[in-house]
Amino acid sequence: MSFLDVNDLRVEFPTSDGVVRAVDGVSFSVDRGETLAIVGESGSGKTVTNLALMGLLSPRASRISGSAIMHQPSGDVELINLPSEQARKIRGKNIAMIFQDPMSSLHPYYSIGDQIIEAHQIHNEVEHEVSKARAIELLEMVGIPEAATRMRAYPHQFSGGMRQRVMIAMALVNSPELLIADEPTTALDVTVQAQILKLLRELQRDLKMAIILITHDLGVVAGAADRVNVMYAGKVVESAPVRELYANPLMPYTHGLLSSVPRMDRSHGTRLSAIAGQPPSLIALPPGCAFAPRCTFSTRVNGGPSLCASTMPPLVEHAPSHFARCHLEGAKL
Amino acid sequence: MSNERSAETPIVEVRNLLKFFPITSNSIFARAKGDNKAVNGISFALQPGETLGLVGESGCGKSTAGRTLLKLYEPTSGQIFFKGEEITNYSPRKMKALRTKMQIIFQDPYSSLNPRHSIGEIIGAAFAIHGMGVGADSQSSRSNSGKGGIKRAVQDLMERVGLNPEHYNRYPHEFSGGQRQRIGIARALALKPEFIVCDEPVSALDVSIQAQVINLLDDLKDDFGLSYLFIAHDLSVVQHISDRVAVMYLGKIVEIAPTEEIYQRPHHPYTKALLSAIPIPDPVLESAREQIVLSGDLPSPSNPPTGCVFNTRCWKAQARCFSEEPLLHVVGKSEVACHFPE
Repeated sequence: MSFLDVNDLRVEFPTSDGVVRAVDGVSFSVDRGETLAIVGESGSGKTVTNLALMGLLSPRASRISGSAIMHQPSGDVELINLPSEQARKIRGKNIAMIFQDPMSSLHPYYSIGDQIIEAHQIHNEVEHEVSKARAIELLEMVGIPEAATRMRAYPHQFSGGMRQRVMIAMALVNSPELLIADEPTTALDVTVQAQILKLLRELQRDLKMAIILITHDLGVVAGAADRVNVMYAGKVVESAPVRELYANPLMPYTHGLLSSVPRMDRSHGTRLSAIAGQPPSLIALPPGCAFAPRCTFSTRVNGGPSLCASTMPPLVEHAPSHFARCHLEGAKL
Repeated sequence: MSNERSAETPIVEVRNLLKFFPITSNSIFARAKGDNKAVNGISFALQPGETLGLVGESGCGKSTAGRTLLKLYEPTSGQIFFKGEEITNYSPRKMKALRTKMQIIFQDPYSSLNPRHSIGEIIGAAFAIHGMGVGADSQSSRSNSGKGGIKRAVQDLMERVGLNPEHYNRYPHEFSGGQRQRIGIARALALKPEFIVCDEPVSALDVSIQAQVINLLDDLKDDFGLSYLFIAHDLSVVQHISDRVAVMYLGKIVEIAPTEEIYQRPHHPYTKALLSAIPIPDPVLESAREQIVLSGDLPSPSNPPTGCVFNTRCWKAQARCFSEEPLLHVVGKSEVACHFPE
């Protein structure tokens, strides 16, 4: 059963230049034990979607609408526009988050032990010693050697990969049901990335938690996700099980993304097929498909490029649980 | 004879380059406690028009190597040559003139751009610093004479790297990380250099943009006869752009080979592990293949292991690997520093 149901989530940031529609009607659900990858370029709204779920957007700077229902045995909880007092109770307990940059998300003045203990103490009325034991247990679980000793160490004494392990330990200290991992390995080296992804896979298997994996790396997605949402200009433009998406991308943007990745299993020296142009400004989005100006397939659409430019295509199920937002007949690329 | 040879003169060459950073105690009578051996004796030559990929994990010394050969750091020892001329002991003044020919694109687009300068100023600074576009230097003023000339030149560059030229007066914080990296690239390209150290230039960019920039760097290389030292941790990117690839580990080059060779027949165990760690964007292939997940982290470069630097993480290490340092030697088409190459 699903743990989280997001429905028509919208996030707007009023700026002096106009309203930025960062997230524009996003719906998805995440099951327990499932990994949902959200893929997109910078500015596509993948991070803002999750910051909204976590209640981490300032109500003064943003306007959030829509709903995100977290299913609990005690009843459903609406996460959107939750009073900050209640959001704080959920954050770090039911839903935890790890960030891209483990250096700036750890406090440099506190030992990593104290930081993990604090995360545990906030949500549990237990003795300090209990939290300390839990922190050591977690550090061992994420593969930090001599965990009890390393508790006293400070973030700067750790390498990037070890810091990310500390972040993961801190996120998991309250056994969250959903872990939002926002580009968790982007700042890491490939050999360390492989370690961290393996760790996340094992932890997910053992703890049965859901993971929302935000990334731009289609290689990471291929190995880690069950289901993929591709986002573009604040909208989900394609959603499919991972194998289906890679084998049969239906939306030209996804197709373009997949073919623009440099791949080691292809011969070198071949030119990458880049997607021309840039993502549109979120302030002045065209009325139609946001990808239309960069799309090479729009001429093949019944009704021509003018249809793409004027009308936003709906998210349609073209194959079992494979949704795409494209005017192309049967979405045949 | 000498004319014939000059055609083959490497654009950049380093011989046994060392860069150590002293580690000092916190006391006011700071005494060196040891050295961080960031670059520990590397040699390579880069031919004109060639791209050499330099890969390795963070802390392996690849960025330090790139910066040291531009003399942004003073080398501890070793020799640096630019177009056959030794520049190891060039004065800052002589280096400044040379810097129009040697540029760098930095890794971090956040800290490498002055937040208080508009991007027009940032990119245009190169012209101003080197006296171009103020009409003082007839040879270099070219089409850039006057403020309008600089602006037009900067906007051309902005367009070339995929930025909206209308954003000339905006500040770095108004751009995404990816766009900022393009600003850095435009800045490096401004003076039409011959050699660019690309220090992780695309690791901050989105895939579709990354592909654009790789293609762009490729085009520029052909158009202007550029040579790149392309530093990256992403081997799939390096593969696309490089003619040869050097793999660094703990301040040393452990393998250097033509690109095809290194990807098809990696000889050093570290190269093999590094290649296997790269995720393939295909769920079917990805789940089918076997990954070598290295245990542990990079050892401290201040106290590298004796013998082979990779012996703490190598699954093939034997007694000899702990006692005797392997030197680069030819294996097939590659040069490998390993006692037991694959």
